[in-house]
Amino acid sequence: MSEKKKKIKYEPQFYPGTEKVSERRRKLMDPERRLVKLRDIPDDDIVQLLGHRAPGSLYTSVHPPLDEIMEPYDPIRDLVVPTPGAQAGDRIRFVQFTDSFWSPVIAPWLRARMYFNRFRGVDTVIYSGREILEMRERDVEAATRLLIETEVFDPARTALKGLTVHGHALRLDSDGLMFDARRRYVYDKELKEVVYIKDMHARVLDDPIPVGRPLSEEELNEMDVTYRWNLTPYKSRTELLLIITRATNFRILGGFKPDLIKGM
Amino acid sequence: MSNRDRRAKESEYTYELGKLVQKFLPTEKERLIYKTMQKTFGLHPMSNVDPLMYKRGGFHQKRRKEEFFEWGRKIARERGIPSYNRAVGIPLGQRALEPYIISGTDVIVDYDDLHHVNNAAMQQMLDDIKRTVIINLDTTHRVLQVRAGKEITPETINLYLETVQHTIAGGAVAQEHMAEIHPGLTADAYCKIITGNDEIVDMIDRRFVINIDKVGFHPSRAAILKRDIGDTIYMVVRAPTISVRMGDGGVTYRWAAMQSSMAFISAYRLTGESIISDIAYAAKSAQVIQIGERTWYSRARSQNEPGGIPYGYFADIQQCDNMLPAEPYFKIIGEDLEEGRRYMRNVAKAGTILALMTELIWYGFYMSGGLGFSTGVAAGAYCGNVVEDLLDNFSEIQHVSISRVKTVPPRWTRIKFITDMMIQAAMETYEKYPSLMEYHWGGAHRISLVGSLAGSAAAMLTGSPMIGQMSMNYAIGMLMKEGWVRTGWAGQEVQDHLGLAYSCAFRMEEGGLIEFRGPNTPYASYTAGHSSGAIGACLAAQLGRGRAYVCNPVIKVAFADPDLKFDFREPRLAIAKAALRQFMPAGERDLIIPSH
Amino acid sequence: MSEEEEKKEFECEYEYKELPDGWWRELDWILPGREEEPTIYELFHDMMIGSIVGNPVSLEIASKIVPRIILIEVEHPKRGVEYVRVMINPTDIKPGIPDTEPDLIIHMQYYDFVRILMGELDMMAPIWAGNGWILGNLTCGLDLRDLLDASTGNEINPRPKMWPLGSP
Repeated sequence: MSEKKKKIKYEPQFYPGTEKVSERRRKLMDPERRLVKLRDIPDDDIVQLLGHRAPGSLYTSVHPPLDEIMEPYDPIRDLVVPTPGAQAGDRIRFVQFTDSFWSPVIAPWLRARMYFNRFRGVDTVIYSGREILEMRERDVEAATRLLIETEVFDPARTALKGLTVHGHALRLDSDGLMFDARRRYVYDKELKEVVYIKDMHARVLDDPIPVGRPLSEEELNEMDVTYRWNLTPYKSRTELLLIITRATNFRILGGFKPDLIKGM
Repeated sequence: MSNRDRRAKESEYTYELGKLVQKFLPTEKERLIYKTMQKTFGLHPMSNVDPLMYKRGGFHQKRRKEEFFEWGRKIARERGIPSYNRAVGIPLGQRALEPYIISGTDVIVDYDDLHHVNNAAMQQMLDDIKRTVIINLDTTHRVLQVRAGKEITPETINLYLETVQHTIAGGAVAQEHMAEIHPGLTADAYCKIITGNDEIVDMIDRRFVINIDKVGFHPSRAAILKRDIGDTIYMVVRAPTISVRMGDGGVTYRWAAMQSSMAFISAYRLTGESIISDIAYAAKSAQVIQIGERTWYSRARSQNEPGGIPYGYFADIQQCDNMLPAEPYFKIIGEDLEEGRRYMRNVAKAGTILALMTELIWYGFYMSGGLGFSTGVAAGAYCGNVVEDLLDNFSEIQHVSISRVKTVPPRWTRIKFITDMMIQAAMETYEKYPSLMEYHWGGAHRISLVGSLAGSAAAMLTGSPMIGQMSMNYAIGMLMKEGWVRTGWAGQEVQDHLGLAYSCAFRMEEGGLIEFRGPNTPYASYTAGHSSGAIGACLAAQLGRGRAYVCNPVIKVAFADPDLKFDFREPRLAIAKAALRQFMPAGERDLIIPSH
Repeated sequence: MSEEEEKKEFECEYEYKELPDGWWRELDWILPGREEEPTIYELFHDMMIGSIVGNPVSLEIASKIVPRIILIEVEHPKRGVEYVRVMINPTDIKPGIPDTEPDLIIHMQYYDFVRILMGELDMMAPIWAGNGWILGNLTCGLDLRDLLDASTGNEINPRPKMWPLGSP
């Protein structure tokens, strides 16, 4: 056994498939690839949209900064560098997005996979239409900036919804916006942008916050992450289907008798 | 590059799929789903824009909500404490509050009418299950013969049965100082005999028998049921509805044991403590079929409550398949599309009971309570003709696929392709019909429906509920999840990932025989939306095998009883009647309260 | 029930069999000069030229089908796995794997596929029997089956309403 083991270089593949939906899924999940920035939102506006603290106010702490605490030895602490929010002792706060079913630029399970690959210190719960992301307060603000300013946000089909989250499956309104029973956002016809008039928790904002123009139908079709019968039919995705067939067979056989999947 | 080396390029083969919709619009317009969605939403059902959104008149869209509004004000005025109040919370009705068409009927109801507290038929369905227990009389008869030296004859059995109708309703027979129940409150309590022996049936007063030949079973099914029940005599006890409304399902077998023992004492003039305790033991414990087992501690309920009912029993409780010949489905669908479609439609009809009992009653009521969040999930099984449309189409593809094949082996790898095709078609239907997407507004609706369709269709072709369960788990946890990168709420498909691995497991904490699993199975108990699919797989597997019952022939016959208040053959009609407030349930207290 | 009995019960309608040497010489649509047992590509190629192109029903069906890429992989007992990719509208047949994702993959035993092309065996029989698998857009499968049925003179099954000829 003197021969050294051959070191295999591992290259994460992220997602199977050759067409644009698979490619887009791969891109969002791959932390090495930059997301295209589509709009600029000022810091204070992000703080106001989240509605957890007043702009300019200090972060509330739930424990002293980690540097000031004497903690018992734990090898994991040497391995994991705390996030800025954890380092400072911030509260856990959240941001929640609902993604319409109609040509969304991102969808719940993809969000989860993206969050886990691109962020640290996250807790997330995936629903059919919405997804909550919980982090330390300053971390969640930083994450929200990325999630609103880049290509994973479409003002019309993605929405910040802290409560009364329904609407992903509904038809769109006459302006092409996803339904919101709290009317947090409206389409400003003069500005030609979507404007938030309420924060995530549906409290009325002092000043409306514009979040950019809705993407056109053509742009959305290009950026859609959903296999769709009239654009990228799911049934013809043989590469992906082969992978999920393999995963299913592994689950069934491995669940019954792990030896059965040896060498498969 | 020579022509021989030229490789295919995808760009050469792309085409405008979206334009094809125009070409196939006539085909789509023929679909049941198109017609129903058009009737429901009143607009082009394939458009993803609702031009009237936010301009629909709020809750005034619905008569029922206006009624609630008026009642809320009335209650507040009368009692001085606010009640239902539309001034709090969000203004309802900014979107379309669509009507619900009960599948297979022309009845249109309001969504609120399908809440289990607003629908008397749903309550009676639950009560009729909870108030049923089955006692085997053979043991008792043996005790009477051997220990008490009594002779058992048709006359004594008839006398006993006449006596037990009196005692089960709360009447006294052996003691003077007992308080009796007003028979008007227990008018729905009675006992009946089930046996597979025609001679015994002939000798018993016909008022006291559920005659397998005369309660609507196809002769081929009746023959199987009679053969498998054999000479044994079972007594189905229906405790009064009011007893389970006051107590719970656990009352039923105690009520039955107490009152049937009293009837034995009276009919056979029994004396002596030891013989009576033996009779009581036989009636209460020895050979009693409970409809449901007790549930585990954190979800503790007594016997006969829906969480403890095995999937196989649920599948036997429904009676929608009674008139179908006991022939394997794959033979039927291969030979005759219309007949195969009839099988499919009856499974869809049965789905009403399965979805209501599990998604609505167990998860939406027992596990949660309050407003009806799973009302829509259950309604997916019996409203909007959605299941009918898809199953009609699936039966066609099954017919085409197996018309030249004589067998369908119960192997997952062989059945998978047809699951793929059916579920992709179901997903495409949602994509084509934004109105349907709005109708099934939550992921739970869609996974529940898709899972049930996949499970039933695969089990029906193969006769194996295990294949059905695999198909359901695969359809939700793999196919739907990767197609749309979304499923149901809060990682609802965790059950599907576990389910695939546990599908062949017989270890207690992982599952067991599918028919004996239930909503109480540990891995299945914390996420909803799957039980109706698993039961559908059990039921469909029975049709696939060409059998007459899923798990227990006695349960099957017990719920074929025409004297039950809820009609387990036509559940949709009963629910529609109740939504229109024309269904009369049992267990009312009018006799003992002021007139109102 | 023993495994053997079970197998017998479920699979009695289908039996895998290898064809006797020289079987291809009996077929009228095989191009002349094939001295050795044809590869799956050669077989499909000959079928296309000798049977499908000359058949008006097949041509009519083919004209209505939307563009498809079908990959057929067959296992030959001696030669191993062979691939042929079939494209419909525009029609093309090439050996090997396409450089893009096919709409449909059909995996079968060589002699089963030969018997299907000869019209002896239904396309679904080996799949139900577990001697092959099919994956992808099954509407393509229906299209291909209709084409083969027309060319072999078998009765063409009516298409399900939801998947009419020409639907994607």
